[in-house]
Amino acid sequence: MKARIPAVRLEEPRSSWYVDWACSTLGRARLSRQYPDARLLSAHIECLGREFHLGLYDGLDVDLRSGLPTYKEWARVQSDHQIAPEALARLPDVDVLVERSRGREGSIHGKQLLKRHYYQSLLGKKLQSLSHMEVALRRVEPEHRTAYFHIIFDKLDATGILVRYSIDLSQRSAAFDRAIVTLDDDEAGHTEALRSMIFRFTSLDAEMTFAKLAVIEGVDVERVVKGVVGPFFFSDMDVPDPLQQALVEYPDGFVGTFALDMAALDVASDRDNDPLSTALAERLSPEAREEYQRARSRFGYKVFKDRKFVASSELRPCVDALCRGAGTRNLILIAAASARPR
Amino acid sequence: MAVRAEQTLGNLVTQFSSALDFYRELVQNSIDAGSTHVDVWLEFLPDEKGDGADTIAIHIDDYGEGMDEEIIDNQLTTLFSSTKEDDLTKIGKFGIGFVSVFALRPKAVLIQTGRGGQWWEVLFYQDRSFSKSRLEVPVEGTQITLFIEGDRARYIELVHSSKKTLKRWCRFSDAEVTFEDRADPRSRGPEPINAPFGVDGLCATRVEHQGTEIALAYSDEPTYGFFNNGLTLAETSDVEDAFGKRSDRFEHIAVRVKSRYLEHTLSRETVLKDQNYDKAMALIEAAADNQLFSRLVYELTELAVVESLEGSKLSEYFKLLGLFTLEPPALIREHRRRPLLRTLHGKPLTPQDLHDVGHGEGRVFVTARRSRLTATVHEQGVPVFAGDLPGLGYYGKQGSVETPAGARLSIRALWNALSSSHSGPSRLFGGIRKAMMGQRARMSTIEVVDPHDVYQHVDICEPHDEQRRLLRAAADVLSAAGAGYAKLGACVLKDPPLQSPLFVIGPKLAPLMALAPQLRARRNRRPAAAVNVAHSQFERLVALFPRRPALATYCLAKALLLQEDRLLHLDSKIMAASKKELGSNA
Repeated sequence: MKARIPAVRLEEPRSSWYVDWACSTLGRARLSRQYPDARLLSAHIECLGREFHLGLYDGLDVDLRSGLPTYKEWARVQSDHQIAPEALARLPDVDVLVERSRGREGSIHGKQLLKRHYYQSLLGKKLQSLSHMEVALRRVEPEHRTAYFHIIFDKLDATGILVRYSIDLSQRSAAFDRAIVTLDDDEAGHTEALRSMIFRFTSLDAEMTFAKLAVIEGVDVERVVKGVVGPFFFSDMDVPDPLQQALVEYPDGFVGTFALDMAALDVASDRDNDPLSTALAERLSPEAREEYQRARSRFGYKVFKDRKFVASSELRPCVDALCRGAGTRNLILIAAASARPR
Repeated sequence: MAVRAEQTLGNLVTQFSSALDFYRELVQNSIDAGSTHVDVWLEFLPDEKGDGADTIAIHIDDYGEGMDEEIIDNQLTTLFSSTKEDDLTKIGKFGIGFVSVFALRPKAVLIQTGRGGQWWEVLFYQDRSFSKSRLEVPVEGTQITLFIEGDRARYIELVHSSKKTLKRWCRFSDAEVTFEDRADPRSRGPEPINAPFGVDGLCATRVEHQGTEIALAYSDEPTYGFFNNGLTLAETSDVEDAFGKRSDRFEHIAVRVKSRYLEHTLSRETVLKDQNYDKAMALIEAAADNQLFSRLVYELTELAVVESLEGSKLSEYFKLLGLFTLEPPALIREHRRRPLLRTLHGKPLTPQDLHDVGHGEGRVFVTARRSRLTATVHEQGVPVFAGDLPGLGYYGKQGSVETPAGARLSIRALWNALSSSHSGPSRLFGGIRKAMMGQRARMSTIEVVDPHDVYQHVDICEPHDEQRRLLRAAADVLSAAGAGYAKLGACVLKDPPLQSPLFVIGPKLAPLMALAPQLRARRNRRPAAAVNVAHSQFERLVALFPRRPALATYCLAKALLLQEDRLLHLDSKIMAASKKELGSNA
């Protein structure tokens, strides 16, 4: 039996409030390419707002584990986006619908008119993919028969957060019959094996992904970066102290968190600067921990974890306290809902 | 050794055409560091003591990966130590971008940067020496500040030129670049520098490959832009400059291309023309030949079927048709069965239809004027292609051509493109080849004419007695001289042109006759002719005939041949025949 995802339905005006804050937070976060694309995410979330869908849908379901819209919401916009051209072709012209719906509040034609506006607005949108992999060739070293790749994998994780994996690795041509990455002239691609492997790793740390990839024959891994959007915290959610208390005092407060988890050869030293993370090593059994220590020494990578916060101004001291409490020093940016670029 | 290193650095600092080109170099570094935003902002810091030593601060902030101590020591402060060389996902290659900030002769350059949990501040002094120190507060990405001496006038000038420079180099940047003048009290915050990537023109098309994005459109004033990750490498309107040996293909096609294959030369003067450049060129050519050309064919086909096409749409159709004819003949031939040629009556026809008509008749009809006459021509199975109205003519680089030459030229160019495709004779030998080549030479030109200049609507009428006698006499004389018509009759012109013809001709006496000498007679078949009974010359000859029949007959017969421009060498025979038939009273 499928476990039910804990979710809350935000009704108006709370759903508009949420959309406003989520977009504003994403804009202010200035996310680098190591994270899922904030512009696409913001556009996607904007489509969930009443202002965009004109009341065609009831409320907005938010995943209480991540503070982000539920899978159903993300997917609904995507499928609407896909069917928009066909739907628009089926619907009568605006002029016709305006004429037919005049003076008839709530008529079917009125609803069709709203749908036409909604689909029309959707047409020009670029949305966040919920599972997408891209491989780019970085360079080829013919003398070593080695090709270097940059892999990006975006996914809506099972825990409701959005994840981007960025992986730099090289593959020796001798291993191309068991390739995880393909190269046709300069066109790089991925194999299903790589996709399913990374897909499984998305709930794990960058370190584990590094270690798993590094043991593949013919593959050398340089870095694995996991950029995460979420969780977002607000008063409808179960959030860590001292945020919980502050949100009682400021029920309109909002905090977005953006984690970066990196295992790479060019990280200077191991460091965990994420106040919300529990390092992998701490979650493992003593035997497994030892094994991962061996992996670190064998492959030479180091691990760095970080998290930045975007908070409404009244919650900043609280986030500050959270970081101090965890012994981390984090970037805390201030966002205002009205600052969201439209 | 130290002197040489200093000299090299000096050369690198001043190598770029403008001191503000450092913006391009820094934005390039930011994009390579994975930043999706670059914020540029200027502030004016007046000298608090009032000594006039005001300072201008130029800030360039990114949110990319930043630098740790290892990168600061081994890359930022060391020339030619880039790790990005040969990396197709990076723009920078040489490890010299950062030094460009010294071209403005700053008093100091401050860098704050963070990576991997280390946060650093590096301060470069005027002599380019530097000091670095750890920071205790987190820094994201890299924030660079140039401190420059300058008063308010210099500041205002810098604000203007900075924005202009950023737009020049970064308007299509993959990262969002903003600019803000923080000394301006009216400033409404950061202003976006970016513009949508594309080109203006007809059939605007985008083609994407891995690491390459191409925007193309047909244009009569094309420009060409080359970019990497959206940063400008080169822009020009000189097709030779842009495409060299490939320039013919792009004389009428505007192109902007972002590609991982394109990079600057070390001096940033132009695009490096290496193997990767050739790969990019091949992609652009393929995009022009496939997607852009297909789009052109699609739009032409769509416009060709619209029954009543007017104004700008009609103008667009003829522009597109002109452009179609400028495309490589091989592409035109590939699409010769697409119905993209508008006709005045009936369905659109294909270039192949045009070719067949031209091949059979030696000419095709093109006109902008739909009339009863064109309808009759169409009913007789001869297509009349749509021509353009005054002012609509268009023919690529040769500029606008007044009507109806634009459409006529297009039709002729199409004919040429299709005619050059026949490869049959090249595989033949001896006499057969000679005969076919001779025929091909005859058919390699085509007349493109307005049917109103060729045909005339007439009423075939019964001449009165005097007229009949003269006509019969002229017919007999012409036959006797070996220049007779199949039939010589009389007619009245409908809608007579300003200069009424003496007679019209045709395969038979019919309501639609051709103006002599326009009729293309079928081989070995004499045409019929109808004399315009209202023509003043004919009236005079009819009046003369009772008194001097031979002279009147000779004059009419001669006039017919003269106007038809045929068999003029038979003059003496006609004269003799006239005398014989009608006596010597001429």
